[in-house]
Amino acid sequence: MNLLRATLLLVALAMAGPLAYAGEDELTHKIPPGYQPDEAKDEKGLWHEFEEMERSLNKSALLVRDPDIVTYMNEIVCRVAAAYCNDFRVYIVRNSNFNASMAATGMMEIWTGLILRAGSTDEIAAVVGHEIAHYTRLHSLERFRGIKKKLAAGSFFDIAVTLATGYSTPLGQLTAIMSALAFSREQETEADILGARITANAGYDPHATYRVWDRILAEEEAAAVKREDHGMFAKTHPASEDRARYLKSWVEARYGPPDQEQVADEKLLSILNSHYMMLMEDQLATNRFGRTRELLERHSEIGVEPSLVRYFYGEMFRQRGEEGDAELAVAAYRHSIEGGKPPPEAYKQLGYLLLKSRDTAAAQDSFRTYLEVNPEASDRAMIEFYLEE
Amino acid sequence: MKNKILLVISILFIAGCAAAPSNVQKIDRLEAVGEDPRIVLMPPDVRYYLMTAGGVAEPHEEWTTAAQTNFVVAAEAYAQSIGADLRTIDKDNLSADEVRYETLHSAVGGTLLTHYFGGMKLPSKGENFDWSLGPGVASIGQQHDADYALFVHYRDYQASGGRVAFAILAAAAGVGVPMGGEMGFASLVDLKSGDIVWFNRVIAGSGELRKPDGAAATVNGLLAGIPTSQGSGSTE
Amino acid sequence: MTTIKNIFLICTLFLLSGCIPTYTLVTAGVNSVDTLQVTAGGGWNQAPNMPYAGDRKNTVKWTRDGLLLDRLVFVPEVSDGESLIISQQKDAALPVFKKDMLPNEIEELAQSTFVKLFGEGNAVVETSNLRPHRYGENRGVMFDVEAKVTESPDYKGLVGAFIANEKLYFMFYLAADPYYFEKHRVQAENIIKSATLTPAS
Repeated sequence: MNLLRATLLLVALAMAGPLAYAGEDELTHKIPPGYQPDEAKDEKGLWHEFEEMERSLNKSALLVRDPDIVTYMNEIVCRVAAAYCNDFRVYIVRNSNFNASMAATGMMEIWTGLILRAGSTDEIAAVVGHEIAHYTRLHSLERFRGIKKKLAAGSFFDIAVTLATGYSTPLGQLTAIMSALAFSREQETEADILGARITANAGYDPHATYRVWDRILAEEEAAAVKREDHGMFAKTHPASEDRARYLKSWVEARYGPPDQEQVADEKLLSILNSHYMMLMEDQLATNRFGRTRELLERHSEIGVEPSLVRYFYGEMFRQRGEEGDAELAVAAYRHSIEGGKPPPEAYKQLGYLLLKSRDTAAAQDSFRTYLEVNPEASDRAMIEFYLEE
Repeated sequence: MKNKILLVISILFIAGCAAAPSNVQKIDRLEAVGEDPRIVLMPPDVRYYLMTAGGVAEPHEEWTTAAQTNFVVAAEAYAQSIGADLRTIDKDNLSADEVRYETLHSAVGGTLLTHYFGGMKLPSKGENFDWSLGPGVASIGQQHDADYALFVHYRDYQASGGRVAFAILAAAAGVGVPMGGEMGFASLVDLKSGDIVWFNRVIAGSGELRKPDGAAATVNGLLAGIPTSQGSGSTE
Repeated sequence: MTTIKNIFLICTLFLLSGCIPTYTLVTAGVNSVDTLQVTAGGGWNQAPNMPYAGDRKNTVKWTRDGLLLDRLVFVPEVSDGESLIISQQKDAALPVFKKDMLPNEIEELAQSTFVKLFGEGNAVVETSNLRPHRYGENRGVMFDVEAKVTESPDYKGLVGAFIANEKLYFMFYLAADPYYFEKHRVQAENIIKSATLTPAS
């Protein structure tokens, strides 16, 4: 695992420095809408494996079927894809890590972590555009062929390193290997440029494209401080500050400076507010508090319902449990309650913390309120036990 | 997890580790079967891979499609020849229940390979075989008007020429590398009780699924004994 | 759960150890499971302890139909700061037990641990019906678990846990659904409910 990471880092460093992309205006889609693979056997094999993966995905327990999320994502994809709209099938998968990937067959897998991390719908569109560019430029196939060549030349040790990525995927050895090895630097740049163009053409803010990379970098930094591992997207799309900067100057040169005013994105906020409990609980379950904190700050900034964000600050402090965190958590739950729309769990978690600090009377008050606002609570027996003490 | 578990089992199998060779190759608990048993063939989970020199198990679309098609054709032909009533289901049209039972079956099949056919016996079972999918499968029976369901699972890793060469070189250097292999099993499930009344492993080298006559040979070996209107099918 | 690397390691281990880890029969009646004492009916098998699959040294696993289908696991004597399973990955970020944990936190510890057990990104785990239970002289808790796992059957289960002498005693039953969860639920629940600390002699 360390060896692989070191290798990727070395490659990234070796290629650091602004990449002047000559002739970017000639960068176009390599395949037309409605593309089907040609006679090359390996491409057909790859398609077939992706088709099997898609059948599995359709049956997956983690597939998100909430109509509002599905509609929202499909609208974004279709708008960005323009003429290629019908080539793509979007699968939203419940996974709190940031990832979006595109198979050569047009199957797009988007993890809920993307929704959790976006600062705006434009940012989601930017990631989608980036992935679509990988698709229309046939990067999957190029990479697959590249890997095959690379592995054939490699020794058993290289193979072991490849396999020992630590990323556990249920859907095929092949995807594990493809996930482990990133796109080439050139492919990433192509996807950035072409992706930015098609996103802008669809009417989204092109400045969102480099903001996404900035956010990824910020999160990786917050995570690094806590010694948390690299996210999936970061592993497969190595970002560097130079890259974000280059993209920013390219976008500004072509589309002018960004708008000063950043308006709250009603559609995204509506999705976040309606599904915040599920999205943030999945995130909390990863135990990666550096990242979680970064996300809560972001949600505060963009305008997610304050009671909800404060509740999860409470959850984050409570579960982190460092020196002084218990007090911070109590304050956060109270702040959430003050906000007027706290989830019922705020009263319960506050109660447990008060129990710990031996404020039994206040704890019981809180527990009582919890049962009042949530009469169907499945843990009623436990709460009543504490009310009887 | 299923693919990982089966990968473990494949690797153990390949590395010669599935040890204490068991005499048991199949289970046959068919009792009086009744008239004209109707059998529904669940979409066979068959996959072919080409192991390249570099060790990538490359999914081979042509072989896989051929094998899947040949299997279904051979199974239908065999069923007809022994007078068994076999129905097939389109794999794109599985109901949620059918998907759940397919997944459960993979877990049960994998368990059987480890604990019944393999060396790691469960002492509490003794000589008993009572693994089942449970009576909930009755819904599948109703959906397809069938008395039994046949589940088939098969994985085949073919070593390419380059892979064989590489394996020889590696062996000379004292490193063992997996060269490919195959693993397959089929279960017949009683759709009233969910009990597995018949289970068979594919014998290595029994036939080449990619070719119609090879598929027929494999199917004949695999399905010998499935119930027909004349009682159990001919033993081979 | 295990990565592909771990699978190769397991295989190597098998090869080195002469290949066949064995399952042993659990005798019906009162059983000592490390520092716990439980009453079991017949039909249980004890699985070999496998560190590469995440087992702590004292973890004991029982099964009736095979670990993929049902498992009853005892994780005794977890000290402050320790996790319930072990991982070969350095940055697994496993959740740990803290000696002052209240029931809600034990519930979260379980949920978070099960997610790691199945593999992050492979499973969604939910807990419910948290309720008090006495394990001999020790007050503890019980709650239900439901896991949806990719490429696997659903798993349902039951957790029983208590804290004694600042250590956590954690037991869980997880089994495939449909069928297997319900098949062994009553026996597993009775065993968990019967657990006490082995009386000091």
